[in-house]
Amino acid sequence: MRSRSPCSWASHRRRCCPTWPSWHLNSVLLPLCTPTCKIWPSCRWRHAPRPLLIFGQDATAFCASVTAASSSTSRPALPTADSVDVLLLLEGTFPYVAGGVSSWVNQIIRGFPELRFGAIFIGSRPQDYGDMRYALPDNLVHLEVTYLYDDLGGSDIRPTKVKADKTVMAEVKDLHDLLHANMAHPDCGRLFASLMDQAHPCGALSRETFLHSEAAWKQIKDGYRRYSTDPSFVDYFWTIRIMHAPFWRLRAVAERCPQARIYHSISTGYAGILGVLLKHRNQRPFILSEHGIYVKERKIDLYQAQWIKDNRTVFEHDPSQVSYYRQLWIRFFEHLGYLTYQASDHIVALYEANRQRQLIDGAPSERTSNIPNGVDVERFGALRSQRSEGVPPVLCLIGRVVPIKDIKTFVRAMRIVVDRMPHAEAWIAGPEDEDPSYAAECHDLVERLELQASVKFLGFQKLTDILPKVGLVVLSSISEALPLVILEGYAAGVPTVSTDVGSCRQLVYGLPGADEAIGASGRIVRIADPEALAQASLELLSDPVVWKQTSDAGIARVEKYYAQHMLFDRYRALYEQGFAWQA
Amino acid sequence: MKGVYWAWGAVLGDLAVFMGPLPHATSDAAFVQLWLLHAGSCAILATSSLVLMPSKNRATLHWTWLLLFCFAAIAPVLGSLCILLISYTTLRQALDVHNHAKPQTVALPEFEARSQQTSRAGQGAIRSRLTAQVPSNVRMQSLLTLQAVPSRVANPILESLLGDETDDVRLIAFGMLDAEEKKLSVHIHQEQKNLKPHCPVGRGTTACAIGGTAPGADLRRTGPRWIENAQPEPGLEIPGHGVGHGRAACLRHLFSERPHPACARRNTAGP
Repeated sequence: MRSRSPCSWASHRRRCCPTWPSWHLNSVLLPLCTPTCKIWPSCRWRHAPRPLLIFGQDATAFCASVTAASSSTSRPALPTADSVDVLLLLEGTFPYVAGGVSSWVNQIIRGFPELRFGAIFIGSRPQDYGDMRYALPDNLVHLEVTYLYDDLGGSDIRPTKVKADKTVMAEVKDLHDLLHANMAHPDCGRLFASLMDQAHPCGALSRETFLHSEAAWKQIKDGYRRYSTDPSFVDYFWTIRIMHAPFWRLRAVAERCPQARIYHSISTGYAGILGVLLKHRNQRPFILSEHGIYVKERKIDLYQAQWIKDNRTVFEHDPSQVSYYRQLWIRFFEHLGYLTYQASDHIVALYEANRQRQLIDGAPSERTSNIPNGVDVERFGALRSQRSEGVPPVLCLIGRVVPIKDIKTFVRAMRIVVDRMPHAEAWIAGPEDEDPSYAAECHDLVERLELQASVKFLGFQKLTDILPKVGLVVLSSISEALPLVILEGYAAGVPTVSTDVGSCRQLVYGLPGADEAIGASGRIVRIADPEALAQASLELLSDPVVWKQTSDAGIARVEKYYAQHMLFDRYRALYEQGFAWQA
Repeated sequence: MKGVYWAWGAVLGDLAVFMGPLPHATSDAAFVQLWLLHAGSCAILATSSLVLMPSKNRATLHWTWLLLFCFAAIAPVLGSLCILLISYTTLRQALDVHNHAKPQTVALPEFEARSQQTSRAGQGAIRSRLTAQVPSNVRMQSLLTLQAVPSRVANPILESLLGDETDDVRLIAFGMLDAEEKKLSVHIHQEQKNLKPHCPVGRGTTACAIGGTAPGADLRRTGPRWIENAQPEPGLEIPGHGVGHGRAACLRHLFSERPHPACARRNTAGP
């Protein structure tokens, strides 16, 4: 059993026992966010980040959320354990969100029945997630759910003054200066870890100190004067507070986590930072497996985000310059990524282009490697016998109905396909609840293109039920990593038409050498090009000989390079290395 | 607040012990009893005072308790009284602060116009700053510049970037085009809604308009230019919408079962 400091005991008892005296916790001054505050009425900040970018949370709600004493909300009836072999750190994925990454997590847990897994699910707010999308495997013995932006209710905190430790505040300033000047400085990681050590409720850098001390206020003012190129101090103030608030949550999670022999994060970002904290506290190996590149995806979100304000006047505004707050958020996620890469013992990418990207973002080359996805070839291979003669004129897009899958391009392509092949059908097999407005737009487009008879939204489906009935697996995504659905389609004997994203080209045409010699197992087209997507699909569907060749190539490729046991073997070696390191 | 009563009780108990007969007795048993009772009072006082202390003093729980106990034990009654008075005064001060605290008014820092941004680029330079040889961060910034450029200029550039080798550039270009399309869709929806009561929408025409000039074509490519280029015929009147509402009026006609001849001609000719 881990030893606890008196302070951690106190916080533990407060969590477990509502009657634990708490008047001392409530003695916090709220000079900056009470309703009579001079800042509050004019605050223009309307949005806070969410995966974790939350949209629509105002400053008052945020203020209430960050000052709430409780640190997280957990759903009932989740398995708990004191110790696990591998603790998975998951941000916005398994088991509450369906998708490729979640399927991979599920696959990994079930692939190692001899290991006891734990998982920490990090989400934005409870209302952003529905019920579990996966049945929990038997060897998942611990699951904790934590939300970074819940507790939006009122707070009974009473005001009093908080005094900050000068040394700690100086370290905070040093860390920010270093991150600003040179993120690669070796002291960045050390300073971050040492500050997080002080971030417990009774520590010198408690959340109250950050939120309510005069020193923190002065430091924010100083930062604004030195760095901000945006005139709005109010936006600067709230941006800094919102940006830093999750660290205290994550630290609390790190404190109560079960003991683990290995920490395994599936992304950088907040999950990665939790891994950094856990590794620092407990000195256990930390593995990072990235499917997409988190920093890249956040950057793309942020470059397009409409909620980020630009308050420059017409005389200060230069459209060729990214607004200050946009830059600030981007740098923030770059810092999280960099700190995670530096703390990781093994950094795994799905394919070479992603590994190169990790290197650019600061991953040490010697710790990186590629482990591609793998599928259960036997299970999906059995479906080949269920296929009927000929090529079914069914194009199936397997994936969530979300903008990144660019369903609209698929629908537009179907207009052309149906004109040439009237009996062709398009199936869209995936949940629609993640982005209902986008799903409505897709339905609308189907109606306007008069494709109601040809395009079917099937919702979530078992792949084993639909793959024997489809002629092509189509992927119109604008971003992918190494899509499992293509591999699963291959194993079931279904070739693919995919956009040129992620490793799709490698999956269709093979890597140079023996893989390439197998031949094309489908077609690759440019993104957002319905004409090309339709032509490629028609080429395969209308010519049974070409279809058979691509189908055979897909089967050969998946059996030789993407079988599930290869994935498990590689991860088994990593885990064993981690266990041995500890021994 | 119960801690305060316990503390007062301990002080009174201690006082009673020393004012009572035990200090005057000469037996060993009385001596032991006296000091045991005194120690008990001190322990109760130390524990109850500890509860009243601010959280920072309770971080070193055992040492603080021991200090309080020793202080109370060394100076019987007087020590206990002092501890209690100090604790009580501190607590009262803290409560007063809670009850009468007023939010501080803080001054906002001033903003100084900075000259940190040195590079400026006109629209003509955007294309050259988007070529593959340019560093990725400059390309990203140039892409964002396109947000401030009219869509008829920006869209062809963005379309050409959909085939870019860099993932980020491709995705942002797509995102910007998608946002443009969303705006257009909302506009079309609105126009359809306005039109429906007066003029039934021909499905074929609608599908054609949404898909571009031909079914299946990309709205992003043709829609904005189509609508921007379409001009209403002089005197064109849509019931309920007045005369000459420019593009919007023409767009309404595009959805009608029988498009206005002017719009139909342009539709056939393309943008």
